Amino acid sequence: MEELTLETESSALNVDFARKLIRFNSWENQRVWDLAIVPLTDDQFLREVAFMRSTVASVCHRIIDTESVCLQRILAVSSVPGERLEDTADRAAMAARWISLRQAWNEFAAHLDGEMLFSKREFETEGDRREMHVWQLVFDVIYQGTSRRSQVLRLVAEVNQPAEFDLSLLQHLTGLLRG
Amino acid sequence: MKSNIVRTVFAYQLYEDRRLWDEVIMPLDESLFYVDTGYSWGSLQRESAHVIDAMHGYMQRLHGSKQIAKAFAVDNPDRAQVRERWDAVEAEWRSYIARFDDREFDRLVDTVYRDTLVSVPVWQLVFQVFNHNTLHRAEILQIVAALAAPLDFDSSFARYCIRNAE
Repeated sequence: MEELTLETESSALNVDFARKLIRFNSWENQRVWDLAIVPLTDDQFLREVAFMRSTVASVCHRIIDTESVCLQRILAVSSVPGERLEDTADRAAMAARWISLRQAWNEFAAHLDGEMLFSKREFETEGDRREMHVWQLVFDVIYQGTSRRSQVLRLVAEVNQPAEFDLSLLQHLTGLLRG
Repeated sequence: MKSNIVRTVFAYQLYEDRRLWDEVIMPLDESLFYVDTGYSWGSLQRESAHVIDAMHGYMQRLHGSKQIAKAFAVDNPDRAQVRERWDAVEAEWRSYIARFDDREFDRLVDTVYRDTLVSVPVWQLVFQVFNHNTLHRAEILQIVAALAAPLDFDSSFARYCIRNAE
C-alpha cells in the first residue's frame, strides 16, 4: 500500500513534461530567430505589414515581454535578469535580452518540481489582485509564444520570403526536424 | 493532477476554436472562405480542413492506429461541411478527454511521425494537438486579416484562466 502511494505520487508529481515544454519554447524562439529573423535587413525587421498592424520587431518584443512578466510572477520578483528594452528597434539588444531571459527560464525549469508547478502565485494586474497556478503562467508563455511565432513567420514572409522550416512541438520532442 | 492540466488546456482550446468559428469565420462572406492567399495552406477552407485532419489523425494515433484515415470523405468541402466535420472531430476529443487520467498521460504510444516509427508518451501527442491548433488559429486570423481586415482577437490563456477562476 505504501509502495503504491509512493509510485502514484511519483508519477503525479513527475513534471518532466513541463520542463520539456519550457525547453521547447526556448528552442523554437531560437530557431525562429536564427533562421528567419537574423537574415532580415534592419528595414525588414522594422517594416510594418499593414494588414497585420505589426512588425517583426514588435511581435518579438511582445513575446519577450510576456516571458518576462510571467517569470516575474512565478518567482514573485519585481524584475528578472537582463535589461528592459528601451529601444525595441535594437536587434542586438533584443537578442541579448532574450538570451538572458532564456537562461533565467532554464534555471527555473531546472529547479521545478510538482509542488511548485501546482502552487499558486498572487499578483496585481490592471489594478486588481489576481491568482494563478504556476503551471498556468508557464502555459501562458508557451501558447502565446506559439501564436506569436506564427505571426513572426507570416511577417517574415511578407517583408522577405517564407521560412523554409515549420513550427511543431513534436518535431522538437522527437528530434525529427523538417527544414 | 497532470490530467487536470490537460482538461483545462483542452477546455481553453474548445473555447478559442468556437470563438474563431462563431466570431471570425462564419460572419465572413462565404466566397472568402475559398480564396487562396498564397501563404501556408492558402485558404481558410484548406487551413481549417488541415486542422481537423490533424486532430482526427492524432486521435487515431492515440488509439494505436498506424494507418491514418483522412477526416474528409470529399476533396473540396464547403464551409458548412468543414464546420460539421470540425464539430464531429471535436466531439471525439471531448469524449476522450472526459476519460483522461494521469495514467493515460504517461502511457506510451507507438506511432509513425514524419515516416519514422516513434514511441512517445500520450502527453506529447495531446500537447502536439493543442500546440498545432494554436499555431493554426493564428494563421487563420492572419488569413482573415489579409482578406478582410485586421482583427482585435485576444486569445490569452492567462485571461481565460483568470476569468474562469472568478
